[in-house]
Amino acid sequence: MAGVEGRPLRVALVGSGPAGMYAAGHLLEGPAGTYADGRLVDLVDRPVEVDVFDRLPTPWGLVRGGVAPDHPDKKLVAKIFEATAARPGFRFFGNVEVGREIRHGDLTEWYDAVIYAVGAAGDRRLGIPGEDLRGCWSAREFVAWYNGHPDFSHLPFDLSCERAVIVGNGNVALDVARVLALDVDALRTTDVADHALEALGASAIREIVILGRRDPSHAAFNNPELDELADLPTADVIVDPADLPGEHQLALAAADWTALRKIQTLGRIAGRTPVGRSRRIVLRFFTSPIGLVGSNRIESVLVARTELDRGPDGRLVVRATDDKTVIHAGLAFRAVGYSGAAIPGLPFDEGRGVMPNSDGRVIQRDEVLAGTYVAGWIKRGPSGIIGTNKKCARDTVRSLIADADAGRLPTASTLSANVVADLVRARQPAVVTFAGWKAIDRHERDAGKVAGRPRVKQTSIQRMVELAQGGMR
Amino acid sequence: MDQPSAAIEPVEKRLFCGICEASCGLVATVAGDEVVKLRPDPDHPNSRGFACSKGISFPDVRRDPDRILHPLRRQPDGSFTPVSWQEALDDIGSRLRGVIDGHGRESFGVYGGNPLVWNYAAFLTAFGMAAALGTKHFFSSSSTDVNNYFAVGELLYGHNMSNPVPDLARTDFFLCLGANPVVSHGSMMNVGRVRETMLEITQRDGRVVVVDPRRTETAELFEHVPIYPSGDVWLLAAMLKVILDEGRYDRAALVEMTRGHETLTALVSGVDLERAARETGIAIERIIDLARDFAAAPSAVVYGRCGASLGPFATLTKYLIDVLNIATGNLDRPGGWCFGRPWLPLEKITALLKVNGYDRWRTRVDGIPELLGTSPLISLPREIRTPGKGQLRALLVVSGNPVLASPASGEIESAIQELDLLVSIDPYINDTSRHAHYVLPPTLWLERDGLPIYTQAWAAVPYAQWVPATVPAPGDVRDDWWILDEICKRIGIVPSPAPGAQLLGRLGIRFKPPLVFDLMLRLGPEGDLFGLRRGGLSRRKLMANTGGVKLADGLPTGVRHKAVHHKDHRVHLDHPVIASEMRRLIAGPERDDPEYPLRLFSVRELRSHNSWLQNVPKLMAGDRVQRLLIHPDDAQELGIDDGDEVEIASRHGRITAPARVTDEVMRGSVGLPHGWGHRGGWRRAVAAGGSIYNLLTTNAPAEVDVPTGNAVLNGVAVRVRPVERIQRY
Amino acid sequence: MSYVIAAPCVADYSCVEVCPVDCISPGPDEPGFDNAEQLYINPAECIGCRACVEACPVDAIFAIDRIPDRYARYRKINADYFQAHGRR
Repeated sequence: MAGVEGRPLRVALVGSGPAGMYAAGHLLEGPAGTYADGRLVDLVDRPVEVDVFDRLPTPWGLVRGGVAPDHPDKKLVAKIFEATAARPGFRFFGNVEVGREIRHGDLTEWYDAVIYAVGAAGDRRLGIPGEDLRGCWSAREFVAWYNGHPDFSHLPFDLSCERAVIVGNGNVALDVARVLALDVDALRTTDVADHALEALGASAIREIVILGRRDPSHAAFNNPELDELADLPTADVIVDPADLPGEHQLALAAADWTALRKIQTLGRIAGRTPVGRSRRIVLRFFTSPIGLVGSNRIESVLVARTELDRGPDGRLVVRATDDKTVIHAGLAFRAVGYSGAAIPGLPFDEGRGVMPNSDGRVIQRDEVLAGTYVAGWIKRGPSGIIGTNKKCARDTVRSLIADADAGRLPTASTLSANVVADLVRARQPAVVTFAGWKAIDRHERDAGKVAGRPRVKQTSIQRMVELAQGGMR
Repeated sequence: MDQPSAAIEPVEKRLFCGICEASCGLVATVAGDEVVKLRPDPDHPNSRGFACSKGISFPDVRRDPDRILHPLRRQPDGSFTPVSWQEALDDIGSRLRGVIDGHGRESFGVYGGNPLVWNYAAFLTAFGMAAALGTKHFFSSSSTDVNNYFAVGELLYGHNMSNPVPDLARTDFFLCLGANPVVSHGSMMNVGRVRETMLEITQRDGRVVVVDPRRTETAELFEHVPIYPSGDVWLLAAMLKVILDEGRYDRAALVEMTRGHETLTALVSGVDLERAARETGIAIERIIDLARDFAAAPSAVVYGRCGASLGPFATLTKYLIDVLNIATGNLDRPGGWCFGRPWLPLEKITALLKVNGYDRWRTRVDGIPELLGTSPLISLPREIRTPGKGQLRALLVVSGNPVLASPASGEIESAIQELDLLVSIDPYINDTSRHAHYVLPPTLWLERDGLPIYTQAWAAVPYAQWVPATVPAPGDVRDDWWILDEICKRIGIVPSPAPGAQLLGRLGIRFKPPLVFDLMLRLGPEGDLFGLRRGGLSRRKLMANTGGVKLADGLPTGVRHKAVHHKDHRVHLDHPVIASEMRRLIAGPERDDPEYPLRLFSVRELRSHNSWLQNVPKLMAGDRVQRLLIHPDDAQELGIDDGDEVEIASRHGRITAPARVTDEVMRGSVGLPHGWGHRGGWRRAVAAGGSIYNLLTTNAPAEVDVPTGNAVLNGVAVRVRPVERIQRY
Repeated sequence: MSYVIAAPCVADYSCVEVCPVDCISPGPDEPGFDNAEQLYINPAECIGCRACVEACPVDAIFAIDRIPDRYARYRKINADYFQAHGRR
């Protein structure tokens, strides 16, 4: 406990998405302790103060900006974050960005420790010709757009074509497909952004083709999402039975239970006769895009049939064959994975899209950067679901507390909570506190009540700041 | 969980859970001196493989680092220091003798908390102690719980403990008032797998109607009728009036089974249905329909628990519950209101010893009628603070925490600090025991022999069970009854109400509780009569069948003659105290307090039991925060948002809690769990925070259940407003 | 009577923390957690205590006898998970 005797441990958390909020929850440990190795243990044995920074005025990261609007139950997880925010020692500084109003060096000076839980702000590219044609988007942009993210609300998605192609078949691809295929009336009772509701209402898209390079047992989507797609009332879901493996192939592939569950569901879908619903979602496997084609904007996607092989190291290798076809489409999304973005003044592994780290301790030039930690996607890459970040954040907090116990934190320059609040406000007069967020939240929910929706999202940062500053009690 | 050493072969032992009335059968895996695993016993006759997280997690209480394992003496600075039993008991004895010599036995009192009734030996000894002392200062947590049951049992059936239970296994219509069996697992009834048993009623085309201010975990499974907290008495009175006025009662049953039924029409004649609708928030048509449907059902039973027991007219409410069952011909018949099948003749023996009774004397200061030899908890502070003969000067608290559990708890907390001597028998330094001069550590139910004394007569599937200690007691803890008896020895009494016991005691003869209960068992209705009855029960036989011995498939019927203690074996319905309560109800003002417009009720929590399990990590994990449940419309009117800190104020006190805005509560009512806001040496419970519910409640005799002094914890008039949470920015 | 975890599950494992009989998998320190699509309740070990229901932040847990039609298949999915992982 060297260096922090007689005062709380002071931690800055950058990013208020699931990883950040779970980290805050573990730092501000509840009376029951922390679950680890099958039991509840008291992980944090000292008072802690946590300041959570977010570049947006609104908290909860992808729970607000990523989870699809027709998944309101998943958004309920914010209850957990709200409970954390209600604990003594928690503060929120929204609309403050590292690299904009404050620098990493400020945080290390002001706090005993800093945890970056900034997620993955970029996405992977396909690396094929035509990727920058108009009408080709990243799925991440579309998701942020329909969820009302202020930085993406202006994007001009043109939904006037009949067919859209989604490259990649992870959960994000399925979210995009579902949002495009849902009856817009079903979205009217959700918190989808107003501009998206308007555009989707006028959408001409009738078919969504989802491309997977590999076989169905390696499909990137999760089973619950596939189950949901299969039950979609507004779309016929099409799976080519020929793409599905026989029992023999399955045994060869040593498919695990999760993969088998996918194959079973896909088999169920493939066995159904389309009933002429207003939209179609085509799940294609063994299909890789070769190029996006169009003169001014995208007109079609050139795809090749693939073959799977085991490489010498036993890894699966996907090889495009000469069996090529053209899919006419006026809209294409790449959904082949998010990727982290570098933060000025901090190391970054471009290849993996993460901050190099060991058990959450950031590593710079083979050395631990004292007092600097990562959690969530910036730590381990964009994998897993919301709760995966809880364990990830716990392990980072465990490292942090161990370092605090061992006196490894740079505590000499740490400032008190009041001083930091003044400094933050000086740097960003439009800082949004938790009370400010509650005012935005209340305003959005009140507007939703009138409209019969959970909330009507604000998409302008300026308006959010006004609401936060006007509504704080 | 600690790993047992490899040398110890784990063994399985059967027992039952000693936390709540469900008394679920359990199987313990024991390695050495430790319970390494507890699971429900699938073969238990009544609980049939159910148990809840509280019981399963109980080994964590046993090895809780905050549990006290040695007698403690409080130091002048408020800290505690361990002392030997000899030292503690001798000093307690001499200080008690000083109090008794100076002020008489009446100046010494005993308070028994709820866990006492899962502790037959301590229960017997505590009752015996109070009887031997002849003190009126015998307080029980039942006066914040079920005194209305005990009063109505005595009035109607001739014994406090006489408690007909709903025959859920066979009923066609279950009307459930202010109870949440899916979460509580049943109280004042003992129905194994109660959730499934209720669902089976609807599966056989019967009805379950849940009347509650909140859409509880039970209500959401069945028909829910929202009602204002403490409106139950009006609903029941109105239903009875409809049934009597419309001639929908079972006249033959009334004539055959009761005395005084002709007074019922007059009793409810003043009940105005329109007012009942206003007092309950239930439309007249709905009340009438409920009454008609209830009367018309082939079998029907109404039952009420905390919501119906802890309002301002609790005794009248309980009386009306019984009368509705009786008047519709549902007493003592399949699917109705049934007497159980006791295997310990406790009612008979206590009746012989004149332990039971009502209003044989009145309390010294408040003049509240005695009940089962006890005084109500609401009187405790005034008994301590009012000078005169019989002033309470020394108190022994057995497994209780009145500072949290008793109405107007602030007053109790300061009053007990004025006592000459306060001794607490408790595994924790809790909110009350932290003020005690001595805290004495008892064994817990895994560490002592046990039988379900409280519910033995009520099990839906009657069974007998008596189990030995599952594991040895740690440290220097002792059985409660031993501690009580040692204190009795030091003040020269034998803890027994039996005539001659004191004389035998002087000759050095004291009967231990296991022997007393074995005698009762063997001479009782299922006993072996010392060999005269083949296949009969004895302690030895039960100890050889620790999983419990099933006595019948279901509740008995047609046993009124045996079960009713009145000499004429009829249910007595005409009582001045009831008539007077009905007059008071009707004459009283309508609920309308513009200053305190909301009605507060207590919410039962799944992983909590009264006030004593908040130090168990497993039970505190998850989002365990005490929150005030408030309807969205009320919240909006008051400018309260979900998560806001609010102040809840009654005429008696004010506390704070974060709000949870939810339409599961009825408009005009707010719900709050009780048992929060701990202080003392149980660190996790203290860290859990929260506020003391009972700072809002009253101990004024005129404002509680007047006939019994039973506390009013529901329907408390409150006002709620948002408060600033102090936050540094 | 056991409980069943359905599609809304986000693997927040509050249920694992409160389960008194450790019948929910995969827990955070079990193999497979990092790739888990959801968590599962072992019907052979669940005692029906309901603690997980109130702990679940996303209302993903249902009594097996009250499961909404749209999640009916999760009865089998929960059981199958343990069968496939040799835990029954």
